[in-house]
Amino acid sequence: MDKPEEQGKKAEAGASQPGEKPKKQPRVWVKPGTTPSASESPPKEPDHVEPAKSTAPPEAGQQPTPVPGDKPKKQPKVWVKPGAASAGTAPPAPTPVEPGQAPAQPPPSRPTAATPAKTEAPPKRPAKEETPLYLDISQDPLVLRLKQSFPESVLAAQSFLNQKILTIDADSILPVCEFLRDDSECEYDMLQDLTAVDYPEREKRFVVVYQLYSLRRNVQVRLKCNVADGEAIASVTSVWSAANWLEREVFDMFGITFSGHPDLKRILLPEDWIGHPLRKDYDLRKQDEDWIRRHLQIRR
Amino acid sequence: MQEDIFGAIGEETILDANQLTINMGPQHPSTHGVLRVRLKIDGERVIDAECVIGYLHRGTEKIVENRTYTMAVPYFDRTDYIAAVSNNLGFVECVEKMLGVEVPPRVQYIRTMMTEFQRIASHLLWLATHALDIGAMTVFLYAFREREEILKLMEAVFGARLTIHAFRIGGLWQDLPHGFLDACRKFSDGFEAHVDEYEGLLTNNRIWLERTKNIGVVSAEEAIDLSLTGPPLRGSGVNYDVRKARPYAAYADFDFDIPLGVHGDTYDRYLVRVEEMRQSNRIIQQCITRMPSGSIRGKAPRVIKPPVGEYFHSVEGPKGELGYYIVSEGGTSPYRCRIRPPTFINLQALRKMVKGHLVADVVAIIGTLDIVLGEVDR
Repeated sequence: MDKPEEQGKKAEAGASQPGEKPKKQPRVWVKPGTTPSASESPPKEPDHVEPAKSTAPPEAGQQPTPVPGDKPKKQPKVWVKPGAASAGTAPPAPTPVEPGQAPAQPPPSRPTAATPAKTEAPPKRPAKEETPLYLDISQDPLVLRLKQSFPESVLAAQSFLNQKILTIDADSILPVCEFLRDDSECEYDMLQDLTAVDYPEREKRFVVVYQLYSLRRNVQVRLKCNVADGEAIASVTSVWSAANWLEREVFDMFGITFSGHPDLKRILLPEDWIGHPLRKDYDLRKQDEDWIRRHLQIRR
Repeated sequence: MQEDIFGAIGEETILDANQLTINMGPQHPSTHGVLRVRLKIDGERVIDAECVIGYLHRGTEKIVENRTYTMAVPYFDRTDYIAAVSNNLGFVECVEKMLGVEVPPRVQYIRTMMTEFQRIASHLLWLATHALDIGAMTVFLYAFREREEILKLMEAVFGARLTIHAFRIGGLWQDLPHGFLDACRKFSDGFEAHVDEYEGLLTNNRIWLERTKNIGVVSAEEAIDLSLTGPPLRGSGVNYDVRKARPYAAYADFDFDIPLGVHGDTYDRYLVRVEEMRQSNRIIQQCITRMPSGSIRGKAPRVIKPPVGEYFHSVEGPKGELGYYIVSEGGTSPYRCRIRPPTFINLQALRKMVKGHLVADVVAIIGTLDIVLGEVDR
């Protein structure tokens, strides 16, 4: 900060030469903080700054090197609008007396911009707000069929962009999957995918996702089960043997245990890996540091 | 390492004394990358096998969670690096579906055409290496000759040969270069004869038949149970191709057939893939003749923010069904982006397929599954 301030003052001093104090320049150069003008300036600034704004653009161009040095650092954060002034960044600009002088402008202009930009943005967002794309499909024949056999298990039935999503009670996932595979009106004979999503803020943080496909009917359905951390969910390897590696991957990446899995162990990561990377709270940097500490005995 | 990997198996052996557990890979040329297979063998016969994977794990899914949708696309070039175009197509279309972006027909056609070129290139690489593994060196040279032509075409359109970053959300980066369709037509017209050439070398070759027939048999029921997709599934006679089941891009506009196998052995999978190349060529020719003119960009928003929701979209990659499951919380980057990797799931079948075969057949079976470790491990 020191250098730009100094430079700014140099420039200011230079600009002020014609008006008032050409002789005092050297002192200002040596110690910016101690000069009387600097200490006085903060309270005065807001008043002086505002008038300057109108004339700002041309004057800014006059100043040689120092001001450009100042501007690029702070500008990117906030859109520069020479409009309304606030005294927030006043200290660096100890502009003495001249109201119309350029030097005062660059610093105040930044804070002023901040407020209008923030107020402008919010109105845009509400306009964009999405209409809910999830539709209720509780009257869908598949859901009704499933509810006949498992009245308690279907917790929710929705569709998103025409993809059916059923939320199933985690305790009954195995019988539900068996039913969906074997029932003559469902015939979901293929497990397309099995994965999970982590929502750390939820009470049951994991959602295990089963993507089923019926070759005969050419339809898909997605089952979702909410599982809490440390809770086990029944493995569906007995229904589709494809679930074997998929469940191992979910175990590896999320740490969800599948009860009844024939060989539940890590698949992509080494056996001695610590943590489950696809959890949202898995800190990549911390992981790195821990590894270094453990294996290289380096502390930092 | 774990010592009880084979604990659950306990099958009777012919000669107990000769039982061995050996490593195949990860640095083994015929495992097509860094696949490691622990084989339990009795003499030459494989009793059991276990795949050890993850040597190429790069955490793509985690990386993508911290990237915007636009930035995420090139990461999928690097999952299945043999078929980058197909990977791009799956992700890009999934995001477009979530956004509700309509893509102009010209884009759809170009995408379809380039994806089919990529399928041919991928199958050529598979054919080359598969034949090389089994001992047919010549095919390798021929197949790479044609693959090179395709890569040149790719370079002309996308500017790169392997990790291409082919498509953008909402359209394409740039239009086809001048005279490109003529170059495509030239390749396409000659390609059929080249496929005949490969077939002349292999299809009725006595050694090839001996090495591939009745090797790694998977029945239709087993294939469905194991969620095999792509040629391994169709080689078992199950008619499932995403291009027909849920047409995407412009596939609904074209005539093409889905070749099916009968026995589900390595030879049938070979026939299926060879026929798929011919069918892909057919699609390409239709694309060339019917290529519509028009814009190459749809009306995608400048900042890509899919609505809160989740979508699963899959395409038929050269190796199987390639799916993307995106969960959006309304932000500029996906909350969760799951890749359904076809080769990861297909590779699961290896254990079932190699049991009872000779060690030399393991090489053939790994080849016939057409795995890419970049995608298996992601």
